[in-house]
Amino acid sequence: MVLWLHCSSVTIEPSNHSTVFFMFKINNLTSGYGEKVILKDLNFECPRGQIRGVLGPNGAGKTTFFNSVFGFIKPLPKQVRDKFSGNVTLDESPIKQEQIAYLETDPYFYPLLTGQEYLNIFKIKNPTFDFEYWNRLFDLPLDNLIDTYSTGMRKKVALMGILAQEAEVLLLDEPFNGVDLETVESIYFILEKLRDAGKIVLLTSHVLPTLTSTCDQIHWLKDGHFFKNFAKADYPQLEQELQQMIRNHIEDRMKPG
Amino acid sequence: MIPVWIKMRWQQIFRTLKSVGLLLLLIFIPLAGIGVLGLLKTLQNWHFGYFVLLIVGVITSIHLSRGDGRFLQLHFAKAEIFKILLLEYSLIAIPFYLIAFAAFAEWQVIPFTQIAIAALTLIPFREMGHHSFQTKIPVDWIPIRLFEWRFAFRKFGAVLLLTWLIGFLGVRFVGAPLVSTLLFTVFLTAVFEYLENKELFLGRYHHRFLRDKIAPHLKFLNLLFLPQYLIFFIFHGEYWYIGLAAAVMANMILTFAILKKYATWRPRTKRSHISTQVALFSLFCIVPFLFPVALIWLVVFYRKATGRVDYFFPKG
Repeated sequence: MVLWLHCSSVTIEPSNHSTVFFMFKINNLTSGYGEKVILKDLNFECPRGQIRGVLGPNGAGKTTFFNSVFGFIKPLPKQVRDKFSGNVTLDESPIKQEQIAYLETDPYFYPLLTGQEYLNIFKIKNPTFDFEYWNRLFDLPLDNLIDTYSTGMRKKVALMGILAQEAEVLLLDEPFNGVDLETVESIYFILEKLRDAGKIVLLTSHVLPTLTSTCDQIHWLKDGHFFKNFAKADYPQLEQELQQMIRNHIEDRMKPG
Repeated sequence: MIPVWIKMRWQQIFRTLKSVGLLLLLIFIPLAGIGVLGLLKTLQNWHFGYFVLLIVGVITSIHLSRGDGRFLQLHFAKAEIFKILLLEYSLIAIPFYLIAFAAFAEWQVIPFTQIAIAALTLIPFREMGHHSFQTKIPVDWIPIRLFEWRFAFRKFGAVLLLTWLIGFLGVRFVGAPLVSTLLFTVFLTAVFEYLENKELFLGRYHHRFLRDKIAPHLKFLNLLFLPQYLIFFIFHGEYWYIGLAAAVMANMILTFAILKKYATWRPRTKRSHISTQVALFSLFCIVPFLFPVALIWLVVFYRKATGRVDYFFPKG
């Protein structure tokens, strides 16, 4: 079955893969920096048309997880090369770069370019992508230099570039970071559209409601692997568990002596 | 793809030139023309192979210092990155080819350089992330108010140490301290691209902010190079003016980098792209007849930096 999504003038066209067999899998991913192993034998799978959240404290390895999935920990030192193992497949085949789009927490922007000129870089690969339509959501001053944009505006323009790639798998590292309430709602809207179009979205956030509002499942990253997975029905329990864990952690730290 | 990329780069160059200002360009272009003529005269005695090495050296340094490596890897396939890099480096090489052709009238510079450029594009981009060894580099001997120096030693301490050592290892050569101090200072200025946040700025701000910012940096630079200056004067006392010129130029370049940083500082911005202008300024310092332009720039940017600081943090 081919899924098509028409939204106004924009068409997000998923690939021709079947819904049944289309699956994103990460097998035994091990990765780290230098002598430190951050991810240990991590396994993950996700069917088409789902949004998955990755939760964990600072330094748990969320960004390393995304970097590793994208294949970025390619390393100079031998010890890293020895540690980096596992594989990532999409529909039983090794994933290709063009099948993944990755929004980094702190995206790079070329200096002295306007928002429109930045987006034109993405038009090289996808000339028909309608940035004007998406900018109705974000209302960015695309004729202004990106150097003058606020943190939230930069996040929005980077997100538009990611959408233009029309990849099957989207890795969004803290997309809600630094954006206003209206933009949070706009991102919810986009995520819904992506889900309907059969895309696979993995996202991180430190704000629990942004994950519980959007994700089909939330994975708690701890000690280098997903030590607990929460389905929608478990979200209230997740909130309680998290709160309890954080309180215990703080109390332990603040014990006198 | 190629037209879009050329257009994008042209827009960046145009805006950079616009920020330099028409008056300075009118001064700079004829002076640069004279500089090129002088260069042509020197090059006539060179073997063209050295010129190929020079071009490849310049392009290698650009390749290793480019900040968009990760962006390109994220959004383009390997073949596309190869095309982009080959295009950019070939365009950068064109002015050199014109100079080479005028100096040697030999076309071999082009194929040799192009082959080297093609090979260069295959060198992986430098990983910009944090490495654990960076925290192991001892920087406690650097006063905390010179946090840019601590950052520089953590970021590329080995390069700084090596350039500093050039002055000692090459003490027999008159030009060694000049090369050492200038290279060291130019590398050091790279960290002035990074802007501190408003809170840190505000915490240290007072009405003599710029002067109090620059003075300790210059003191520290001169203290670090004092042994070199002394050894140079012992070995090459008759060429004292070269040592003095090296010290003056290094101080001027560092002052310019600090002024440029604060002339472009803005809240919520992590990085200000000052490297092109610092490179131009260094050129103005090194080429004797461009030296007055460097002095004018110092004054212009001191005023700009003062204006910018006072705008964000008005007195009183």
